[in-house]
Amino acid sequence: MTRRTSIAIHAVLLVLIATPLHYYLANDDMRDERFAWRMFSPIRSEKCGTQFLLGESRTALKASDTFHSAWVGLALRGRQQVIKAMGNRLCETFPGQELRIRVQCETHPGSAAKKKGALYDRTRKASDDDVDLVARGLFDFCETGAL
Amino acid sequence: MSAIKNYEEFWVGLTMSDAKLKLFRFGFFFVFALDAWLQIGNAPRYGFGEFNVSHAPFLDGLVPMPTRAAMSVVYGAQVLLGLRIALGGASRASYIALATLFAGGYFISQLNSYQHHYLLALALALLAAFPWPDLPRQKASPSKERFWPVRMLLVALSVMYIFAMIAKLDGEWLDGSTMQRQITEGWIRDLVEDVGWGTAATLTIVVELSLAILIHIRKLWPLAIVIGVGMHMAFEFSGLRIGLFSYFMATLYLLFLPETWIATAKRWLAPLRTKAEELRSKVRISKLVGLGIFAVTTAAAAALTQIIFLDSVNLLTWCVLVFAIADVALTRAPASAGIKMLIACLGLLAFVHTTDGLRTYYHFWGHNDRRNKDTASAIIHYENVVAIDPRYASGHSRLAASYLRMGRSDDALRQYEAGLVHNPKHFKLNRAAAQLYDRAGKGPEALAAAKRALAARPSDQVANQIRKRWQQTLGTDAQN
Repeated sequence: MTRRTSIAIHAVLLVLIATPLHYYLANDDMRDERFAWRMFSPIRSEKCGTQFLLGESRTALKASDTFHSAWVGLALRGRQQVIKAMGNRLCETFPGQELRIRVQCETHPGSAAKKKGALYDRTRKASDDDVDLVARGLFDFCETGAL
Repeated sequence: MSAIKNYEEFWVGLTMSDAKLKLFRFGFFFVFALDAWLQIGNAPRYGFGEFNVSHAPFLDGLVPMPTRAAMSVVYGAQVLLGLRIALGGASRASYIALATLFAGGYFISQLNSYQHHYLLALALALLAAFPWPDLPRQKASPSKERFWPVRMLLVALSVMYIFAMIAKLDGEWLDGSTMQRQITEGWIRDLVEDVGWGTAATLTIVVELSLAILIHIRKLWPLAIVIGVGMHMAFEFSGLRIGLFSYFMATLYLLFLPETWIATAKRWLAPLRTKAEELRSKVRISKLVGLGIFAVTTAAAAALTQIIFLDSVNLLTWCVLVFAIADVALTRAPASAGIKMLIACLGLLAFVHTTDGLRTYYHFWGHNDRRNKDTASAIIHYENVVAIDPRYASGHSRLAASYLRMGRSDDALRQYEAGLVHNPKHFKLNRAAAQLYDRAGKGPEALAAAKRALAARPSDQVANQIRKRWQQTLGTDAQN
């Protein structure tokens, strides 16, 4: 085997294996299953509720007024990279206002969906076993840039 | 030392016949082109609200905002290149161009998060390096090492199966509840219910692990075909929304056809091939005639694209011209390049007329305009929807609702009536028509439409109120 072929083979092999492995070893968002070959995984069927709360009154914004329903759909799967980008856009749209993002996801498929509105319940505590509260602090996203 | 040799042999020792590679290419790139066309319905998502998140964070600042028009051209160009490659004889540059175009269209936005499109991006990159037998201007004695991308494609499939299996090593999967939630319809659900959800879930893991191994044991390829194609077709008929993933996988299994089967098929087709070769040897085309054929067929192909009812059709026509000219420059076979581009355009037209890609495109575009409260523009796109498919009830319904928003109730009623011609029992169309007839004081028509709506949904309050009102009124009129 020539050196060139050997380098090509091992470079491609590294990409093929490292990409899905990254999900298990270094991914900080387990709901982001892209490139991990997790087709039909249970996480895929878990629902998330994402709320964008504006100002001190914490008025809930309707995400579909600003974003295409396809993006709202990705936010409902709890994909943090998309939620953060949506938050950044809302910070630009409403300058000088506080924005809090609340992301609540089911801990297993269907755990909260059976309770109507459970994912959007503002009073829900992080300890509730059917819902995982991703954004625990509810601090100003525009200031911190973190969920 | 022998371990190293075996390792090297694993990568470069896998050879395949030219005929099998050509058969695989035709199947794979045909399905690819069809899938690319079906993606056109998703183009209106791009650029909405000038918001986008790419697959890699560093791309967000580098790449332009993908737009509906640009993505429609990207998908159209993918169809043309895919079909052109399927027909054979394309240059290596065509494969590279297609792989680049697809990867660009995929990685530019998370709006396309289909895992099978990620697999396609990987596969196309490898296929661009495949040892295709009919590449123009190949070396007379090519190196044996050229087969490594074929092995790498099989390894990519193994990696996919292994990680898919690992993902299923989870209580929710193993007890069958995840599978039960996802398989929603058809005989597959009945079959799995008989077998038991937990058993079927465990069996899926075993099958995926087996396939990851089997596809590297040449003698067991027939078994891999039976198990692999069987599993993917079972997914296809189980109600899962996975696009053409199963069909892509089935075409990949063409690579595992035993060479003896290919040789038998070649023997059967030998008389046809002989006749074709005789014909080819009789017809000698001079350079000038070849260029003439190229000019005529390319012009015809460009003209054909103009028939497509797509707003970005002019850019697509440019793609045809650029691809055809590049093809001639690279293959030095003008007659063949022109004819194949013409066939590719005919294939594109066939997709346009036999799928609902274009209808979905305008429907979603109208939907975006409606969301942006641009009713005038939504009307234009919904009018396109019903022009493309007059039988589409939802198109008539959306268009009529947009007309109503503009105060054009006569136009709205005409749309409901037009929709009912093809869908006489459609609940929404009948109820909306009943409301408009009711408002216009057309009692008999309102009553008839309300009755048809109630036949579909007997408890509907609006239709019931209209029916009662007009039954009473018309009954009184009759008594008078």
